[in-house]
Amino acid sequence: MDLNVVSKETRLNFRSDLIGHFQRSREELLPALHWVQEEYGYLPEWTLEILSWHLGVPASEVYGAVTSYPELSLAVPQTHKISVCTGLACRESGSQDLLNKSLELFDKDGSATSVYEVPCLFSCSVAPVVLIDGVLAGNTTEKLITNEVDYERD
Amino acid sequence: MSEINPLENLRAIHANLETQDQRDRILVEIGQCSASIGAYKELENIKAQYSETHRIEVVGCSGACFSAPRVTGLGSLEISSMDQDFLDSQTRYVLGGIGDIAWDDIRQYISIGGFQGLAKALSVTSEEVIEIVSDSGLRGRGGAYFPVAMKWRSASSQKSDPVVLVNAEEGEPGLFKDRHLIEGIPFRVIEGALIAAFACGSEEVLIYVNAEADLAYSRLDVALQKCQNLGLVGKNVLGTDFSVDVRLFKGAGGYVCGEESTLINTLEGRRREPRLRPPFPTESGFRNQPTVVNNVETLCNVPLVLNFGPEKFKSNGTKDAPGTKLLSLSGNMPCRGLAEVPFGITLLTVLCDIGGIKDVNDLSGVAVGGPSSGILPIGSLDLEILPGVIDGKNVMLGAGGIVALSKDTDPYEATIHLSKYNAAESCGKCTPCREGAPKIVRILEDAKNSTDRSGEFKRLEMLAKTVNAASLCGLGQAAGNPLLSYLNHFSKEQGD
Repeated sequence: MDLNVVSKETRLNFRSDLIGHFQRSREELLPALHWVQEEYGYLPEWTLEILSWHLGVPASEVYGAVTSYPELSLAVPQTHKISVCTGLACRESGSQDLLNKSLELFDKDGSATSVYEVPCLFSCSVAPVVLIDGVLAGNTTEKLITNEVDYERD
Repeated sequence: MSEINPLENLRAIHANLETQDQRDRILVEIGQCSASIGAYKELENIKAQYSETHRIEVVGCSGACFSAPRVTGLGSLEISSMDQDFLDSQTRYVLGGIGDIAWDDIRQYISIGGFQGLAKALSVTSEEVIEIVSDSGLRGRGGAYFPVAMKWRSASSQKSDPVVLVNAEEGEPGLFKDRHLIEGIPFRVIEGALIAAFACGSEEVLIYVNAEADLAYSRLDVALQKCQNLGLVGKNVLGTDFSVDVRLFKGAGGYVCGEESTLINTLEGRRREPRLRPPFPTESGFRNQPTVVNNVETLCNVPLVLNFGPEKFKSNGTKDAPGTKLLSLSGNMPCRGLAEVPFGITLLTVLCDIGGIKDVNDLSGVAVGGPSSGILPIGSLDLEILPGVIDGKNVMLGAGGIVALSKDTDPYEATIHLSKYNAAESCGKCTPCREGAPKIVRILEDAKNSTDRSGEFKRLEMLAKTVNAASLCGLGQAAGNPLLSYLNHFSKEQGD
């Protein structure tokens, strides 16, 4: 981990923020990771080692936890994100077409939107469902994807 | 102890709560599902039109998701007969009150009997509470159907103080029952957890909520604060010497986290992996303390058992499987949503009377119990909804997810889909699951178009059985089930 990607001051500020929010306990690891991800949109590597010092959890184990939970991300996020659910119930309602449409629209060079296929969004009764920038859309149609996600053309 | 009367204290709390205005009520059902199809917009419309003349309340989703966003209480908006049939065909016990009372109104919750189960529990000893729950025969509703009283007794008999964990991970595709319960009646979840804590002699409750269930988390948070303000959570609950601390915890995703020892690892800030057993969580779990992990639906049954008695609970269901079960209905059926039925009812009745399916011949099969289970052919739909294995082989009720597959869906494809899910969600700890589950998918995909698959099926059967036999947790032990179910039910029919 290269800690010098940010200034010493930033690191110190981050640490005092941490101290203000979380006790030195390994039970605080997941709440703290959620908190960092909310602040930065992802988990910058330099924050992990500071987290490790503060909570008293080996850095390797912090990294292990981060990479084992699907909701936590080490990658800088794209500006926009579409997650298309292709669970069994959504497949019944045409989610494959929605996925293909989304890929066709957004999966190309220079696109600010990333498209993900997710196994379930747990809203099967209003299938097919799509998560557009964190907002759930039920009974989704291709039209909704084309119209709702028109920020590409802005 | 004799001077303290928790029921009296509860009545006093209820009497002190502000009485609402007497105007006619309009109820707008909002849950995660209905919000995704415009329920908040509907609420704005209703407010704009009626806020002068009516009392507008936000309630949880009644379960009739197919007609969401629903608004009730307006004479002019007749409830459709389809909605009525859907609701009337059910036995609503745990769902009682959802869709009728404002989700955040503790006064209405107490009016329908809320917190009286807790007050009654606090009027007797914890041993007597366990006895009452034992008498009801209540089993866990998360899929394993372990007797609740046995779990509580085991934890309470340990040397150190137990911790109660509420499992609201619900990371199984096709399931949305716990989320509905929390969104619709969060006070009942809290009340159930408090009774569990009292029965086990615990002073600490942690509620673990699925990472994606934001609405459920925020509603639970509001409800919890209201309980704390009224002295229902915290020091000396309802004036007794029972004190309890309740905290919320947000998960970070993953099907395997619903497994209780994995859930404990997550709370402790470890990788999502199951633990070896023994020791069982009730002996040594969270922070090495005795730990009771109960599912949300299970805990929602508890206040009702205490308040209305075990006999009322047992009046539903069968002798060996008393009570009701929540079923999450989705896929190719007209009435998709959450339904509650007594144990012992047949799958066919559920699909036709509640799900509204006119002709089951329009289906190619029905997936029951999610990726840890399998798909039933339409010839086997007269099986009863019961805990555990329902077809005598590999199809399990699980937590009650039911997905109807249309004729256009090939059960073989659906089996690949379920197997893929297991392969992707394997945490990697046990080699048979980590290596075997993806191998099952590869072989199934390679054999998709071959005319004679008997050789592959033989290898697959052996592989699936090995994965099931040699894995540590519930996910691995059931990772081969979709395939085995396919071999049991479909391979002969399709001439393989």
